[in-house]
Amino acid sequence: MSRELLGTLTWLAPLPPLLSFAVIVLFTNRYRQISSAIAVVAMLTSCVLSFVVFFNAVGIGNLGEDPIRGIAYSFIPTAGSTFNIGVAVDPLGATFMFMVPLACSLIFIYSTSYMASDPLYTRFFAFLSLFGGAMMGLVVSDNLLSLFVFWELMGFCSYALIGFFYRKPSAYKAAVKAFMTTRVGDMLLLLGIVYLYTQTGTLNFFDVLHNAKVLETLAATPAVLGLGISAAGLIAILIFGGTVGKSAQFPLHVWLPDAMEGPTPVSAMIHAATMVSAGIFLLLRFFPLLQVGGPDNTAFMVVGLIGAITALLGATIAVAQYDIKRVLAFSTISQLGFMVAAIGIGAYGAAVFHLLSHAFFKALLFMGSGSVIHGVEHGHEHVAHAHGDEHGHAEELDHDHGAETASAAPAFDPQDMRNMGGLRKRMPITFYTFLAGGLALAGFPFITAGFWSKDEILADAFHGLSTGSLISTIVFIVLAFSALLTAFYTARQISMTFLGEARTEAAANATESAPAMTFPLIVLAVFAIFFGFVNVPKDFPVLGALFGPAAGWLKSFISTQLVELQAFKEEAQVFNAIPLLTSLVVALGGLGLGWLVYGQKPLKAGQTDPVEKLGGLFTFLHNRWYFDELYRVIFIKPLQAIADNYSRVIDKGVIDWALEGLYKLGVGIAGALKEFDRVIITGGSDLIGNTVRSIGREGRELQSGQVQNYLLSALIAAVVLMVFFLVLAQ
Amino acid sequence: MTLQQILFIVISLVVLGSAVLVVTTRNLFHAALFLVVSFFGVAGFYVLLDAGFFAAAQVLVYIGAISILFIFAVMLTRDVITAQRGNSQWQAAAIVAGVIFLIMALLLGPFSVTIRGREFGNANWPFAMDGNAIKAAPGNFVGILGTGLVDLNQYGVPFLLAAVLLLVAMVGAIWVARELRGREAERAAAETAVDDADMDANQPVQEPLPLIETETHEAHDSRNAAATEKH
Amino acid sequence: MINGIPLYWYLIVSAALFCIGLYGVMARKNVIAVIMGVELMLNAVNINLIAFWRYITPTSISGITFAAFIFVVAAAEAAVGLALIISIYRNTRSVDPEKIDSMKL
Repeated sequence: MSRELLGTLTWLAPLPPLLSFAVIVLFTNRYRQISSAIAVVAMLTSCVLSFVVFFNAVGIGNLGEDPIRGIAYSFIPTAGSTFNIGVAVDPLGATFMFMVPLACSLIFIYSTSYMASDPLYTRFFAFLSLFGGAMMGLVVSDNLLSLFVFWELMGFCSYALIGFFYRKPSAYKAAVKAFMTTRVGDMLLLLGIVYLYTQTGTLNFFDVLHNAKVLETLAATPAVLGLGISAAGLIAILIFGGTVGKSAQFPLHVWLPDAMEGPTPVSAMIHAATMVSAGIFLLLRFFPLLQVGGPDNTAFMVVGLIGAITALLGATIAVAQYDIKRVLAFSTISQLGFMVAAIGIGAYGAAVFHLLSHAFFKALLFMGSGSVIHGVEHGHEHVAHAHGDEHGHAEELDHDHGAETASAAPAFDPQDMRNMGGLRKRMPITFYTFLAGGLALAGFPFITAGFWSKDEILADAFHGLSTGSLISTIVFIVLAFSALLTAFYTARQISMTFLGEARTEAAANATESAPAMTFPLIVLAVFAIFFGFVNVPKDFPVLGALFGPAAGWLKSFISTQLVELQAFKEEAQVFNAIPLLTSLVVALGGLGLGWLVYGQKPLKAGQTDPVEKLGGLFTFLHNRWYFDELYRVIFIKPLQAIADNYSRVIDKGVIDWALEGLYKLGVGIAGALKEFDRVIITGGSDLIGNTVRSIGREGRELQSGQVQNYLLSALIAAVVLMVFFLVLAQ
Repeated sequence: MTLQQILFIVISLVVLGSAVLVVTTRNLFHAALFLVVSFFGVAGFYVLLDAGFFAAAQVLVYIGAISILFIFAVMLTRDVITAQRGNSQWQAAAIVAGVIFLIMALLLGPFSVTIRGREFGNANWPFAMDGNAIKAAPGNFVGILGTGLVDLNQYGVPFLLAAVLLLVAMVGAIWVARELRGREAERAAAETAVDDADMDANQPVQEPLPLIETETHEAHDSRNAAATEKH
Repeated sequence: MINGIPLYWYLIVSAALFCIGLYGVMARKNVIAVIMGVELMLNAVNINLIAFWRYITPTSISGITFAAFIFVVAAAEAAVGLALIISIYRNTRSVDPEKIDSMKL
């Protein structure tokens, strides 16, 4: 297929979901089945288009040097040039064009069944389509500006979908939290964009990132503010700020667990296919900026450290959670930390590989947990009905189950793993697919995708360690420990959910979900198992030879991306047994430990979780290291206090004091002068006083919710800026 | 002083004077009428600038359509219109607007001032100061404008988008301003009630009120009457 | 062509009109009056555009095209804005922008 045609197809790929959003919102929002059908068909169309581009792109040898470009349209005329918006597919984009639409399509199919009983079904599909379309647009964008537009569009969609059950206070609070937290990162990203534009005059990826000359100039320019790093480093760190927000890295990770308030398909969408991947995608795109500073430069250190901290943080917290989705949420945070840490040590290919395999198995795990929740909810309803119908029988049952049913009855939580158990027999398909996903997450050796991708990261980290890189050493140790914890909490989760005997009636009466829900699970389970084989290291014992030329395919395909920077390209690695042994030991050790604690003797009803024996540590972890509380104390409380005391401090303290001084001064002078002067001066100071007082009164109500008030504040700021730039600044 | 200069000064006085009245007069209906006067003055400027087409469009669009809309809106909401001149922040607003005007005048005015080594004022741009700088009036500019607007290589696409915008605005305006009836109204009332209760327990629930109260009273009465007849 | 009116006259008048409109937007106690202020501001912008077109590039149509689009936008804005006012009035029985503060969290 010609390149022009591929470019056109790339233009078309994000359109169907975006159009389906418009169609659903405008025309079919009253017809549930038609709306969901439109959304699914649109996503599948987009999927087919993307696959055509992907499979053609794979066949192009020099895709990295010469990516597929769509026609660029001039969008914004700037003084001397025009700003062009176009699409492009390079190896990185191509791999995403495989993963994103596939995962999205499966999530869409799953949602048709999962959301079937929701009254706002059509709205859900409208937003889901917009979400998917925005992610596709982000992947094919060839410049930072349109990427940012889609990035913000996704931010909005996540807000709308996390707060989808907006009648529930916790849901809309979670939505606001997610929106505000990611906004902090977006602000940094915007600063990065502006700084990049002032330095290079373009936002096109290929003009900046595939241009060795521009990169070297950026690396040689010292950054503003005398930070002691290069402009390239500062831009990279600012853009990384966007990733920190979007991909929930420490310290902005707090929104992701709360995002669980949205419906489960949304969680799958956010955690696997779109939101968090977008953050990593952006960082991967700007990898050359990190790289140009050489190994172990400040930007790399920042990225690597944040990634390592996040990986450890997420893994430790996940050990002490009861909510089935929360465990997965923290495991996402932790796995994203793995990817970011991998980028921080320069392991570009390994990060892409882990991102893709993680997307598949995490989507699988989320949808599996959704299926579990669905099943348990059904079981609960079933039980409730039985109780209502046969009163006498119900009493008997109540007696049998003792206090537990009574205590669980008022607020039954179908997401609490303590209310599950024994679901293996009730929901076999869900169990086996969840098992596949869980083993992939834990990195079960040789037969799961997670093993290969995690091993790749550890191998690269070990390689860095052996060359004496500080950050690689930290990353290697922290990630190995996190991987151990990962395997442990995965074993805990699977055991608590599926093994042993049912701990509640609801679990005992759970039913397997509909085919529309299990089909995506099966497809994803296949990917969770076999996807790893696209990137078996060439020199891996036995298997490497077995795969022959196909071994290490993904890495060699992806690495053509970095063609302009031959000088920085890492030398071919030799196979080393130590990282392999490490990943074997941590995966099997963690799973074994989990099996010993949970699998061998499954929890009985009412029995406390052995993890709780950790005492204070458990409480600390269960409360997520008290980050939310910490942020409340550090940021929210003081801001509220400032807002509350604004009038007292500014109005009474500063303005009144100043006014009083002024007034007294005026009176003093006036007393010494004639009547005439006194009138003028008193009148003048009164005028100033009244004006300032009224400004103060306005200031007190800064957060007034009144549009006119906001406009006034904005204009005052504009006037101050104008005066500053026109007169004061030189 | 040429005739045009005199005309210009008269028109500016009319425009600015009536604009000031628009934003200060207590009676909103009068404000709408002063708005019409101000729009007329702006049309006069267009005539002075040899842009007859825009003068006509100004009269048709602004005076013929927009002002009428304003007058309707004023009359529909007449019962709640207060006689206050400005809100609580009007002094601050006046100061800010005045300062912004001063800044603009400093940049555009016919003088040259140097503040901290930087030149302000328009005097160093002789073109703007030259009373005779106006170029020869273009001939068939409406024709050129028309072709430019439909030519896809010039402004065809924005023109289509503008058409779509108008359509969307029309549909949206009808949709937003329509009166809710029957089940729709009940649902909206219920939603408002639930949302208010959820979001802010302190705020009393406000029932959406019909635009013209008598109408519903009549409807209510007639329903009652129908019910009585049945009995 | 001699008419004795320098370009800056137009610029100053339109700046004044703009600021008067701005004051109206910020200070009026009635949403309808606020929208009147917005219309004044749009008119000020249009005077500027057409004056610049006439004085500097009478042969190019970019200036007047923008002016034409502002007409369209103003019409759309007035229609939607007034519809919103009617809707707000119906729900809250008020057209005071200070009472419409549901943006407050």
